[in-house]
Amino acid sequence: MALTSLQVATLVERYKRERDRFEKLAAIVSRWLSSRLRAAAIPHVPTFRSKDPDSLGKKLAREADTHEFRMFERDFAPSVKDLAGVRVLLYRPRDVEPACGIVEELFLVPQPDEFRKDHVNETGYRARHRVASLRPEDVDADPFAANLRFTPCEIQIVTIADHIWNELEHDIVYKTPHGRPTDVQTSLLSALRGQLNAVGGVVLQLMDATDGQRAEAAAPIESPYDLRRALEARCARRIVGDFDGLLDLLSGVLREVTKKQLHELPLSKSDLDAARERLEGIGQKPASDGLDVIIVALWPLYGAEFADIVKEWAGRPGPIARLIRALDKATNEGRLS
Amino acid sequence: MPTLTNVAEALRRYTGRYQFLDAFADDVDELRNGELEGVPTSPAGPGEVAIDTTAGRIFMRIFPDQGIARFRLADQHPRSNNDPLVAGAALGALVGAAVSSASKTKEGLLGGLIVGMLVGGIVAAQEPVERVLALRFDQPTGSWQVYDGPLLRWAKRTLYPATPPAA
Repeated sequence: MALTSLQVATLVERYKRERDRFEKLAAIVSRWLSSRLRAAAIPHVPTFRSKDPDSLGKKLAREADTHEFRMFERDFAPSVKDLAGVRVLLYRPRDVEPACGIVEELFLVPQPDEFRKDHVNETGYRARHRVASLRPEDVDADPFAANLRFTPCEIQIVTIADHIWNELEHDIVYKTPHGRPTDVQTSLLSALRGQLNAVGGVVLQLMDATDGQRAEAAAPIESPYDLRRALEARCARRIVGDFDGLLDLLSGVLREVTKKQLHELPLSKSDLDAARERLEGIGQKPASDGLDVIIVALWPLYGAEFADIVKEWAGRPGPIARLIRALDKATNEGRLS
Repeated sequence: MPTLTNVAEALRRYTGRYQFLDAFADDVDELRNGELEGVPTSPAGPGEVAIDTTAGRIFMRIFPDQGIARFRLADQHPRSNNDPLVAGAALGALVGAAVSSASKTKEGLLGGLIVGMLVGGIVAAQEPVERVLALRFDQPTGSWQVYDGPLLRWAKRTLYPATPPAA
């Protein structure tokens, strides 16, 4: 027997009293899932909500024929499974499957198909839906979650591009009188799909390029040639000199010599100009493209260490060793800081 | 092999520029030989133990899986007679695990070389660049010297506790 208006109103009132529980569940699921996605290096934007009571009322009224009041005696589930909801927005389509895998690992997703829906329509709504609950062992371990046992939470995994399309289409289906798009809307939705597909491709390329740049910035610089290239890029000028010696000095004072670390060192144009003046101030003639200015720019940070490292160098002192000895002497005499 | 006093002396020598000294647990005399029982120790901050040496009080944190002991000076926390003694068995087990892990980590690569890593934030820099200076322990003089040898990069990568240094 279909739900009556009074029964719908009764259920909505009951939900209002229980809503905090669903809000808590959605928050927990969102937090746990986001943490695992972050650990798996999956860029995402997590959101969560408990269903708005008005929205529940409209849904029950709309689907009144498919529900019976007695089905709600114990709980809203399994009739309504989305009172707690989490949506994870992904940047890359290729992260959708791994994200779904993490959901299955982290939570309890029952086997029947009704708990697992893959909307993969090329021209329509696209998202993965999973109805999950906290694993019993996790509930047992957290007294705070005791009243969430077997309470379902709908998790939607969707790309940001698809989400834009889904939301606009949702407004047409659920917020217009007949729930059907006009010809104009259909045409615009189709055009939007094409453009979002193009945007998705560019986003993917951009993220791949950024990943590549990040990896390169974090890769250790282990040859004088690489150091020269990185320093010339950092200082925006041609540089000549004993890069092997400089690499030795930098390896001595940094955890690892990387582009990222070089970028954080005080080697801007103004830093180098100031270093040139300090070098001239102690009677040294800076070369126009030499490493000496770089060493002086780093001297306030690492001068003491550079001096110690050079003492360990065997053999006849080269230009860098001679410069550092001169700088150390000037420092000890109070002519250089 | 350096003692805890040698460690405290190194930290004192580089005070102001470096905050920590990291060393393989099996390279520190009292840790390797299980002689901490004879050294006054007491609980310090979370995960740390305070140790009194003739060169002053230091704090020690053990990273058992990596075989690393991290030390820092504790000048701000002078010893009090009311300090409780730390649970010896628990500390002993932690140190024992670290000593065991350290020898596995080194895989015999270092031979007789004993390295320590001074770690500190940058002084007077605008951006946070970690300052890391490798030391080797010079047995004849009983002191730490700057290390610039062929295993420098390996040592810097390996002597790196899982937890970044405190700001």
